[in-house]
Amino acid sequence: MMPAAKELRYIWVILLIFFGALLANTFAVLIVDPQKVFGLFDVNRRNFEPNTRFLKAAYLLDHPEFDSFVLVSSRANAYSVVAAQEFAGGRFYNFTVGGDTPLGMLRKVEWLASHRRINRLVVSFSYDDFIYTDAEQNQYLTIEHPLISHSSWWSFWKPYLFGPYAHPLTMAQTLYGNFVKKDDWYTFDVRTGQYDFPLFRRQMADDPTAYVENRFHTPAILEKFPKEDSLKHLDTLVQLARTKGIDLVVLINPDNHRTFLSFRPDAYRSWLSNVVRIAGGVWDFSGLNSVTRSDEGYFEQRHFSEAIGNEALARIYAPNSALAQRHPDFGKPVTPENLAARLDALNRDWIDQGGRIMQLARKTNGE
Amino acid sequence: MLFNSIDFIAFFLPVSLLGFFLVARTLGRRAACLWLIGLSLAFSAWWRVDNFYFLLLSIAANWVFVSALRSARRNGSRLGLWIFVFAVCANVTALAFFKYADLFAGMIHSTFDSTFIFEHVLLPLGISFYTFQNIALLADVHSGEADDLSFYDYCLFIAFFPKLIAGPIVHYSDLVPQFAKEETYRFNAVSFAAGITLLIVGLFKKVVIADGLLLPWTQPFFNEVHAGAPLGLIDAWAGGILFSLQLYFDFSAYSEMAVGIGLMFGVSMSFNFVSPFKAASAVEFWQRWHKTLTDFLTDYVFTPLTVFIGRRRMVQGKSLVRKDRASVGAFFWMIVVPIMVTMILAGMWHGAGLQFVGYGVLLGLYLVINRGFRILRARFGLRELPAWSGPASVLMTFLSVVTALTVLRSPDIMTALSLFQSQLGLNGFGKIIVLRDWTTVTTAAALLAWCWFAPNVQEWIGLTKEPAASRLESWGSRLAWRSNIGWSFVMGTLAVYSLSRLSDPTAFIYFNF
Repeated sequence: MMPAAKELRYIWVILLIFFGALLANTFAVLIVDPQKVFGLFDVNRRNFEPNTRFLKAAYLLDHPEFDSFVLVSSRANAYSVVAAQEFAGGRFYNFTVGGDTPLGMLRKVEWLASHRRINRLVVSFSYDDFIYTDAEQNQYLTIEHPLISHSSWWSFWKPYLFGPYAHPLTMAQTLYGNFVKKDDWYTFDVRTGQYDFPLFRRQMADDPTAYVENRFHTPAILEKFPKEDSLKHLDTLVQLARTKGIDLVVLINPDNHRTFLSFRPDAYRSWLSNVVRIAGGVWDFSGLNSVTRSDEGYFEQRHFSEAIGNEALARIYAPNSALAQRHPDFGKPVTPENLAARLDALNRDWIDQGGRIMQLARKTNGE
Repeated sequence: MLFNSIDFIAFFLPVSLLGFFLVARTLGRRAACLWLIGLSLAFSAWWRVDNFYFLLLSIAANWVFVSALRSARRNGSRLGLWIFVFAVCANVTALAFFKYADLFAGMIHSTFDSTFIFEHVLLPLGISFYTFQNIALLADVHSGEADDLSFYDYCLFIAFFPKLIAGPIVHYSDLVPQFAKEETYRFNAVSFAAGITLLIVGLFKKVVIADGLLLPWTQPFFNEVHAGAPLGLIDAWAGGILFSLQLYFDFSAYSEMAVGIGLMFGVSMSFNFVSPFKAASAVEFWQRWHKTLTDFLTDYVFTPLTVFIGRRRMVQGKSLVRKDRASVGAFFWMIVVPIMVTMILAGMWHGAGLQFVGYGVLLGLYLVINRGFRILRARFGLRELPAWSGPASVLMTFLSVVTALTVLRSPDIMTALSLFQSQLGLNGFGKIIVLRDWTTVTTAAALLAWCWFAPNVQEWIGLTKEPAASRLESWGSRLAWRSNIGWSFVMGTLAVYSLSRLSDPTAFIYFNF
């Protein structure tokens, strides 16, 4: 044997194990494709959340018929495109994505406006959508389509080929969710841009009390505050909408009382004032009203269902409909003129109701 | 680009190695050098293109200094000394600017309540390391030891990517002659096998131990420290020990990866860590911890300063330090002053802020006490120490180092002092944040046992010049590394396991310094 032969064999074995494992894993990722970003095989159909940002943008590229959009974070998934079309007309697409920020929203609108006519935009925010930067939210799950982020395809695909979603455990989770698990806890329909939680819906209907006890908890007081940049991004969006002649509705989400009461009152009032000033007027469904005080229609303390989302849409676009009349105290148009009164009302909510509702919430949460 | 990133491990490194040996074989040595220089510059630019620009500027400016120095030497001109002083000052000023600009801007801002907006100055990657290498080279050129240095050699010496970002700090005479040898450009399986082993061990230490195990434990500790919460005695020590382990596993991992990559190219560089926690004194610790920085500071600060002071004392007819004998005056001027100056500089090299000065002062004090103790032992004839003094010295040195490293990691001097108080027990026992469960305790104990009782990686692989075989024999020769099939499977598995943990690479701690 040559003097270096055993060293050569040693090196070859290591390289074969390392690059063999890397190659095998890469093939598996391309086949299982948990995030559905490669599109070679359609393995992940349920129970494992794909990159909906990418899928929605890719779908819209082939569907120029959509002219109206619902935007921002996962909470806005509850605004059904069917209801929006019924109340407002047009072809709506729900372009909301988990963890989206005002910057993400702006990028999406800029991209949409660059290649199609937009008639209507429903932009729905919560206070806490403004506290995270895009970088903080930029998980592998939420990497934008390269056409929106203006990044290269390689930098887009790389985390899916070699990052946490290329991990064998992630692929095992995907396969388990699709082929072993019987209940559907998550489904996604790219044609509407909306996802659903059938299992939670059933649990909610079967035993609402147990559901609330199991799924809801009291969030701690939020000590993070809105970012100045996020307000600037909203401002840019409003200017863009005006320039392009888009019918823009800015809507403050009907956050469950637990979430609403976890916000710092002063910071919340200041944020709302800024949003109203920038947008010129908003539909405010936040605060304590007959919808948000109840837990009915909420998946947990942060996400609400279409029952609530559609009622909000009805209040905006079809005020005379039966759905819009169900809760007269649900949602108010707030303009710079009536802002002070609205802030006073919110303040009263915190002072009068806050303690009592937080006590109830704690009781529900078993604290 | 991080060594612990998929970009580097699966793409950059294989391409650079394949290219190097192919280019050397087909186009010759000069082309292979150019390939390495080009790759090294690309490596520096990968993170931020500014790093590349600044590295180019540093290379260009220092090559002008080197040429001017050589020219002055050839002509026998006294201008050489001035060029040398100017070149060193220029390098130190550039380093100080990038290290201290933010600190001074903040001080001006708060002192004069100015309304100027100071842009944050980003530290060019690796500047602390290549500036020191440039200074060392300038000293060599000035003394006539690097007369045959070519521009290609110089570029490679400064930019060689395995050691570009965080060392080891290499000497011109250690690296350049290796690139002059024909065999460096031929694939050497023996060197490559040792190199790939070091790379994998380093990757495992960084990804699995430093980031996977220790970082999640030290993070809550330092979050509490940042929040200003006074820590209890147990937490202050536990957090300090865990951070010391994290820093050791992080930085030694980087250094081992750097040396390993060098060996894959057939180039050997010094190891930075030689089981530092086995040190039985502060002096010994510095011979084992960040060794190449210690060597640099000894060669270019401590020794010249000691010689300078010694000469002056000799001229004045005053006593000198002779072995372990010294008068009070000689001890102060020839031991305390050079040590404190050197260690404060070492502290300041790590960053801007009083906590770094504090780190240097503390380390300097340890060294002074250590030297003082030796002199006292000699004076009082305490040659023989009891058997228990060996382990006790190791433990005492380790705990002293933990205190110093906690100061180094503190966000400011006040926090450092508060932590120091906590370690002295002045803030009581407090709530326990770090040692929450037995997993933390047993893991920390196992890692400490590894550091204290196991051979270090260079001993394990057999890359040390010292006769380390005795330690390995007592440890079990079967566990010593050999380039056989069994170890190749172990290493391959370690590499794949580390790869699976690579999902979110974090920067090496020493990149901040």
